[in-house]
Amino acid sequence: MSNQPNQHANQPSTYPLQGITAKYDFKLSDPDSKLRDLRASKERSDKQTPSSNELHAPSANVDTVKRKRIWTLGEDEESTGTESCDDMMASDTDTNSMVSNNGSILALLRENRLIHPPKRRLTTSEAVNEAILNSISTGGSISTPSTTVSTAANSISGPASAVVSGTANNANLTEVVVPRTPTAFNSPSNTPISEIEEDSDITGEIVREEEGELNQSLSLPLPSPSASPVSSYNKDITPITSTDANINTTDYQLVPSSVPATQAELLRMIVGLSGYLNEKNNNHLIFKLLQNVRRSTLSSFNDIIRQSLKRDLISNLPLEISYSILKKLDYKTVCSLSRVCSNWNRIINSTGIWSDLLKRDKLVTGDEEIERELKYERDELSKWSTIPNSPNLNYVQLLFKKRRIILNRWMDPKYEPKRISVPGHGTNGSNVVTCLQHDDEKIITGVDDKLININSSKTGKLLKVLKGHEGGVWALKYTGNTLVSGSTDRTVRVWNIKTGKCTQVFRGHTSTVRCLDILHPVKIGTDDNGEDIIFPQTPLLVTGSRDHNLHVWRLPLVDEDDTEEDDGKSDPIEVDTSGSNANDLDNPYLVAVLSGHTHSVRSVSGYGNIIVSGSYDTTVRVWDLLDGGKCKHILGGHQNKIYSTALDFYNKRCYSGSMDATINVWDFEKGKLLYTLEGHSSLVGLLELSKEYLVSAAADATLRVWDPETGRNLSKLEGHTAAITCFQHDNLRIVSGSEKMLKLWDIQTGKFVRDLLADITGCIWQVRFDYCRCVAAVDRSANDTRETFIEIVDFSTPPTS
Amino acid sequence: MSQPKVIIVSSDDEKFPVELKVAEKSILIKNMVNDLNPDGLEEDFELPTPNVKSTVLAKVLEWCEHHKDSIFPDDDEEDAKKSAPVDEWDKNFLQVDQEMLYEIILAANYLNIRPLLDSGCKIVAEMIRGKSPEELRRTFNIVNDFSPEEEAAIRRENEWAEDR
Repeated sequence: MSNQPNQHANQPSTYPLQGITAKYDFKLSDPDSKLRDLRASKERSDKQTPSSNELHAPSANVDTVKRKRIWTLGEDEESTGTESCDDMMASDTDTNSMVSNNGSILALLRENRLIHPPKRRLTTSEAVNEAILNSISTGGSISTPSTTVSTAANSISGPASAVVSGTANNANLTEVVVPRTPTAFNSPSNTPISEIEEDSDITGEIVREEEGELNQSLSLPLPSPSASPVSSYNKDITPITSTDANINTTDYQLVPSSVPATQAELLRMIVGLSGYLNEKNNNHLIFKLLQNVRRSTLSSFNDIIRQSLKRDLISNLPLEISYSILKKLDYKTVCSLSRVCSNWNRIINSTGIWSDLLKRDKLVTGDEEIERELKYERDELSKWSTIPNSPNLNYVQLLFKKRRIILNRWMDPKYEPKRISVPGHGTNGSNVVTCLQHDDEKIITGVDDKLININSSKTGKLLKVLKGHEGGVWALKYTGNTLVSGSTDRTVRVWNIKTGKCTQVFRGHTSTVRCLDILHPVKIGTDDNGEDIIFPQTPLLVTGSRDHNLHVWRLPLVDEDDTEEDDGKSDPIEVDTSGSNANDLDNPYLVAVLSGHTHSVRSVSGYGNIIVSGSYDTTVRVWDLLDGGKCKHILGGHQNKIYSTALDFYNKRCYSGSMDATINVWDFEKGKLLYTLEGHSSLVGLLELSKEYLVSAAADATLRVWDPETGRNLSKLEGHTAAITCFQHDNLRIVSGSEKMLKLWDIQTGKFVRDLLADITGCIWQVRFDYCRCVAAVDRSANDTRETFIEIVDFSTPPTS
Repeated sequence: MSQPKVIIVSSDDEKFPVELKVAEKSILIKNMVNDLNPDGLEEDFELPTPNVKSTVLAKVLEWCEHHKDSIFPDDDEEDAKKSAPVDEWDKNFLQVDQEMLYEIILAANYLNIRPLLDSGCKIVAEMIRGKSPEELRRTFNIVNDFSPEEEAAIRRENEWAEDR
């Protein structure tokens, strides 16, 4: 019961429930309904149709059956009742008046005409019985003669009592009196002398059949058959006493019956009586009793009740609700839940919970990544289990375990990752590694010494050197097996990564190709028929040059199966550059030339049909490929050269970092400046945008994290001692490089985590990372000589089990 | 004339007359009212909720009444919703025994009251968070049915996630 007691200021009521009105499932219900109706409904719900029919037959044998059933029915009330009764009684003795004020049970019984005309003579103990009952009902409210009261008591004692046999009744009574001692049945002192002989067989039968149950049984008395003469569902039953239903007589008398003489007897009787009540009224009775309970005792009840109302919510609730509960928990808690019990363990074994955790903890970019891992990496994943050979491995859970352990290693400064250092790009001194891209298999670096190197991500081993450019390589990007590069030799080259062969040379730019981007086919909108508009149809390459122009090219994708080159050689392969299109000036791949900038194009970002370019002419230009590559807006506002750009196609925004130390946030659709982000104190050379963060890196040796939506500065990363030369971020971390330092930061807090390479003596040229490894191109200098190295920091070693 | 009310009838036949605005916190009820009164509510409208008994319905409607003017974020704003802490009022409101909490969650689910369901789930999640398996068994009256070997194996597999 959830009701709060009526609070009187400063003085809590001794009986907190007294002021409360009964309601809902514990209010008085159908006060005028006949008790036999309740019985009828109980019978129906019992589904014991044969015996429920027999119940009404006036036979002693049937009576036994009936009573047996009733006992079973009453067990619950019985067992709970006896436990708490003493307590109730003890604190209740002075509050009996409450009972009568609210209508005593006996009054209720009388109203319901449960009380029968006398059928039998009274027992001698009737008076005692009466006295006790009277004391409960406090006399005052019940003004009926004592015999009436005793009659009610009779009805307690069992169906048989009124009609069938006094002895059966008597046996019943005996149980009441000495409930836990079956042998007491035969005790003369408790057995009325009269009529014993004639009914002894019945008594014996009861004893035999019910001995086992007697211990705990006061029969839950149901109305006697005689009280249920004609009921609608069982018309063929002939009532024994036809007068009962419409009793007019006031001459109720006590049937010889039980005489509660002790507290225990009385309690049993009361508990038994409550079985006559329908559910709501039974609740109401308990409420009435509780109203007479002191605060401190209510508190004891409260404690017991709360304890007993505990339930296994996770197992009991519908599964989808349990899942949504579990999806609110962190991984440490979820892991410990699997040890609670086998059912929780089963529930937690769901792949949904773990793929949700993977995404929530930002350990994967999305479902595609999970699917990919599960498709190709099962053997790898099972290495992360302590029971790798179990047939029931949950690979999504293992993927989580693997990714989370690896992340924890990143973030634990004490963890020593596996380190691979390989010399890169020769030992002949000071090469600048201008660009770097990597994946699980390979690391591709472009250098200002004209070469492009491909190293193994796993071993660091140099796999291939791509030769062909006649000047330094300053821009590079690959997708699938296709690599594109731009050089000071003014050309753009397309390469087959697998074979190391140059497949195309794009000429057209008249100066250094300084930046490039690849535009993949993406959904840019929906047409009138609701169909997705995809643009571009095939991948495009956009290149920006010192010649002030941008060129847009169709990107010739190199077939992965095109492996005519012999890959078996361990030495780097010199690649012949004289491909069929290599010298084709009239390039069929050229889509558009974007002219307008008045100085070098330093940075370009493209997506869908939009290209934004940042130039040393201090403007950002927005180009629309759907409009033939027309310049849509010239975004002026920076005071100095632009070095970096970023594009958020779907939010119609672009970002530019400038030598004027600011970052501008633009609406590229309207051509409007939204915010200027200030804070850096010198050139903002690098910008990187993700869904949640915009990160800028500057020559002032700091990085800053911004909210790309509002432009709010989220954190400032201080610790480097020289201009930031390179960085990358994801949703969890930032790795940044400068002279002699490669640092890891927690992007969510903006806090420094650890140095990833502590022994570097020169510049960190480039850095990239993925979930398990960090790859950097660095300089090491000793005795005035500098050497370029590829450093691989690998966190993905499976645990040794 | 006063506004017509929706009279929600519990499984045990208690009648709860409430403002339309309050009743409409339940999407189930809202849709039923709209479907059955296409021209709007012109007179009191009785609606049975045979899966919800009066004690629970009273609590749920208390919540609806309190939140009748609250605006909740859309369902698709999943992230914001998940990370948001439980509304303070809801937290107090859901300080009930586990049986009632269970019934409220079921009712919120059946009646399609997402914010209440969400608060209920968050409360249960808070009951779980940070507890050891043994504490959880005590909290939810659960019997440990693992053999010592099974429990040890599960523990070994998850040991990495334990605070050391």
